[in-house]
Amino acid sequence: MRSGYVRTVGYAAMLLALGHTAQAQDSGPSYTFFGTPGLLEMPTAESAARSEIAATLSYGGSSGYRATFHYQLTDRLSGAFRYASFDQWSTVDPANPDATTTFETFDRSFDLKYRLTDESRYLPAIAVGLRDFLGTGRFGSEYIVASKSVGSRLIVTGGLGWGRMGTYNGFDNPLGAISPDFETRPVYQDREFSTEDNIVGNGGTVSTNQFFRGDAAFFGGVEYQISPTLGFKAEYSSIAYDKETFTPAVDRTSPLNVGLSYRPRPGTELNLAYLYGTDIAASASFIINPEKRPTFSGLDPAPAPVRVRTADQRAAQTWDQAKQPEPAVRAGLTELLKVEGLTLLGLQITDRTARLRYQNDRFRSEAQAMGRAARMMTQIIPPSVNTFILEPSQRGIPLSATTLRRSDIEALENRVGAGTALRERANIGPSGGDDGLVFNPVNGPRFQWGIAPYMALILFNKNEPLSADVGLAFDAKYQIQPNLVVSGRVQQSAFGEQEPLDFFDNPNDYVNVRTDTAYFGRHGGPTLEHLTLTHYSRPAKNLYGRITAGYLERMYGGVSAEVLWKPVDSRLAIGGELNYAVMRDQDMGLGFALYETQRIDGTKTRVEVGDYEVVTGHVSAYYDLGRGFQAQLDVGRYLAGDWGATVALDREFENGWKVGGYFTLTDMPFDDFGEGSFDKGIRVTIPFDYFIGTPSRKTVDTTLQSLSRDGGARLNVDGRLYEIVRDGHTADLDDSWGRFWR
Amino acid sequence: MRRFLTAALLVGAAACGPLNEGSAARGFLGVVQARVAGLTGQGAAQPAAPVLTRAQADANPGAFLLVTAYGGNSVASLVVASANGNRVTWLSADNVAVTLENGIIVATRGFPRDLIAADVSGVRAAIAAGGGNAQRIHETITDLDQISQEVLQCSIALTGSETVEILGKSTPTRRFEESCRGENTAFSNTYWVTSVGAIIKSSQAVSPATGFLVLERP
Repeated sequence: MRSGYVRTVGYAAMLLALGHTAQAQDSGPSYTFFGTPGLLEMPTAESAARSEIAATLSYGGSSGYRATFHYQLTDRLSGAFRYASFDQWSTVDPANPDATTTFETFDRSFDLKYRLTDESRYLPAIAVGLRDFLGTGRFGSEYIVASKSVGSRLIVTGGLGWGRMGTYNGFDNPLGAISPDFETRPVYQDREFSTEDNIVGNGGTVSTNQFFRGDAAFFGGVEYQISPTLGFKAEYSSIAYDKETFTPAVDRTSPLNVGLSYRPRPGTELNLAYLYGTDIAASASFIINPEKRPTFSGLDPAPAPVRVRTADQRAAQTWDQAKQPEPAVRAGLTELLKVEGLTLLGLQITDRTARLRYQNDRFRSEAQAMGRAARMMTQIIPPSVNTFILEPSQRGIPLSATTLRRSDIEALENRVGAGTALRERANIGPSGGDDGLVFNPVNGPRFQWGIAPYMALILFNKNEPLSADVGLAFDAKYQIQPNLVVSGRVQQSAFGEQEPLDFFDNPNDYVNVRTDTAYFGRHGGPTLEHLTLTHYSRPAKNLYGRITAGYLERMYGGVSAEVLWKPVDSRLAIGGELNYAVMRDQDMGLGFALYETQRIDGTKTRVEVGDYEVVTGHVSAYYDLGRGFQAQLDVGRYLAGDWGATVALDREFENGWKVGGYFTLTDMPFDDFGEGSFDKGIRVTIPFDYFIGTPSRKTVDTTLQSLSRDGGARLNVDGRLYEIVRDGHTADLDDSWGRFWR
Repeated sequence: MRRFLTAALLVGAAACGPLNEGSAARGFLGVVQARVAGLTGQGAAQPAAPVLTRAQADANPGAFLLVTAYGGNSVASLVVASANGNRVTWLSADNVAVTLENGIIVATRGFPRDLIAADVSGVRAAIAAGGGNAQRIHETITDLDQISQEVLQCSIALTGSETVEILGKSTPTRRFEESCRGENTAFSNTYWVTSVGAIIKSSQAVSPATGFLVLERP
């Protein structure tokens, strides 16, 4: 460490030293107990910084737990997904309302907000929003709100709310002037807890016929910034929390809420408040922005510099094989690439051209790996060679071929505009064939292993808002060929035998293809998470193939076959997948079986009732919409035998972050699907190097599903083609081309 | 909730095996260790053991570049890795690189926000002329991996004579200040120039996140 750079120390001081770039950062709007920008329970017209993600956990004695994921999709549009557990009223008997009891419920909800106008010198910012518009509507509200800052410390907010936000001191809907239809709000029909047969509505459907209807009410509040880290908030809430059937059982005596918000450091906000005149509530928000990398542009070790040829060397027209025999050059380049975490798979040298096929196991950005490979080539490739062809390869499939002039690499190193200039002179096309390449024998370690702790988060199991399973995972991988790999994982939970998970009820006649996950791997012994043999191929120039066989995932074994058509420079890709899946035994050993829960002598017992096998498959279209948006459509058959389609849209950042959402509609009736009506969710991919600052290809992938049920369920097969293949194609190379010279 | 906390702590335990290189657990642990080291002063500047001695410098004249970064918290001795025209890339043992054009930084690698490339030709000319104005172009990589270019207007002025001491050896120099201003950044660099026009010592800005590097030629 003596000669090393201590990278975490003292850079803040440097920041100050660089003059006016070190302005105090605006920490952005604070978050409500609903996890959205605003006051305490009421919204403001403020938006978070573009792309900001906030995870908020809040708890109040009578309002219960709320966990919210909030995402600022554009400068103006934001969305939130919330998971809450709280007490709600059961059916209220009008004759005897005092006899109403409460029961605990788990509720998922979605919000949307759009900022219509920006704040100007005299005019406030104005936003319109929907709260809980897609779930069962426990908090279902619409609002229009205006916020104006007064001086640099005070923000004043006033708004008009409908729905739950129109329940305290409500008045006739002013929109009634447009149409009398607005004056009454249709009652939401809730089937979930109802005993009546004729009532429909299971959550999950957009209740557009309620929007902005019924009574409206005013709300408002102020936020005052006492110091850069401490703020005071006070609001007048328009939510009455009246005792009605299936509404939150909040004990409320006052419309006034007050609280403090504290930001001990950027990215963390803590709130403490006195709500409803009865309750102390606390919340914590964790804020992160994919566009602001804590490790800046990364702390990757420096690359080897370009080795520039002399004028005489450049003049050479032929490769002097006596001086530089092929095996020596290949062995030397293999060692040099190893320094950069790259594996030389094959090399072809002629008098004027060298073609390198390599695998990058270190850098998230294939462009950066390519830059490193090209610089290493300048070190050792015979001087007569002036054309480099770089073919990045993953899992044994060559993905593309980038042709670069060696003289350009020499001339442009460390020059202003070098990235753009080199990209303009480069040609990216399909990878060449295997002919001519001299392949290295598999020179990496064929067998790799790892032991690591694992943690699986479990939300809302047995009335616990957040719990986890934790233990040790043993991974092993054996590479027969670069494109033929056996891999497996065995896990052992630290908690031993555990009760089945408890958050599902299954009213339908379908096999519990996903909800049975509650019983999987809970017996305390080791569990085989997966054990597969996977083969990748490239049968034609733009065609890729995968076959996976074995224990594919926690719940299913079988065979999965996939093909993908994806030209290197195409925004569109088409794929097809066909799977034969058999449900595994719930002990997650080697066996296959289907169990059912039966009541024997009054106790619930799992009884083996045979096997479940199913053929599923999809035709998929992937389209790069540009501006960082990626769309996917899958049409086909799902695990329960239901037919339908999945639509997904992701915002992808050039630095590897992805934030997206999806929904699946199948022919499984909403009533059979159960709560939520259909499968939908939010998914986030976070690249490791964003946090750790040093290169890594690993990512953290999280899916927040509104509820994992049996409809629209898919097989979780590892290594689907699209994400692997696109990494080396033009669009993805261009996204991080800035790292070529890094 | 308690179980969640237990779990979070347990996952802090170390991961091992080649498949876990750079895993979340390791990365996280590394961050914690670095923080602890930073707080206790371990791993920060250890002035007791110099990275280069006068004897080593004299044995290989001109072979070393001493780089001090992070406000003096880190010192490294760099050697020449390659030359591309009039641009020389210096490299440290732990892979931090600085590329100089006649003593002026045109690129860095291995810092929090590297200078990917720079055009500084006017600055060197102004120093040679005893002062004047020059334009700089700096390129850095953004948090979204895009190249960001900033044009800076600089004025260079002779501000006096100073004797510079490097590893116990004193050299008389003329001191130049370069003040630069661009759309987003502003900084002042300092150069100590010998009678033959060589920059023997300098303090040069790289980027807001990286700060200044102090370069010395022993």
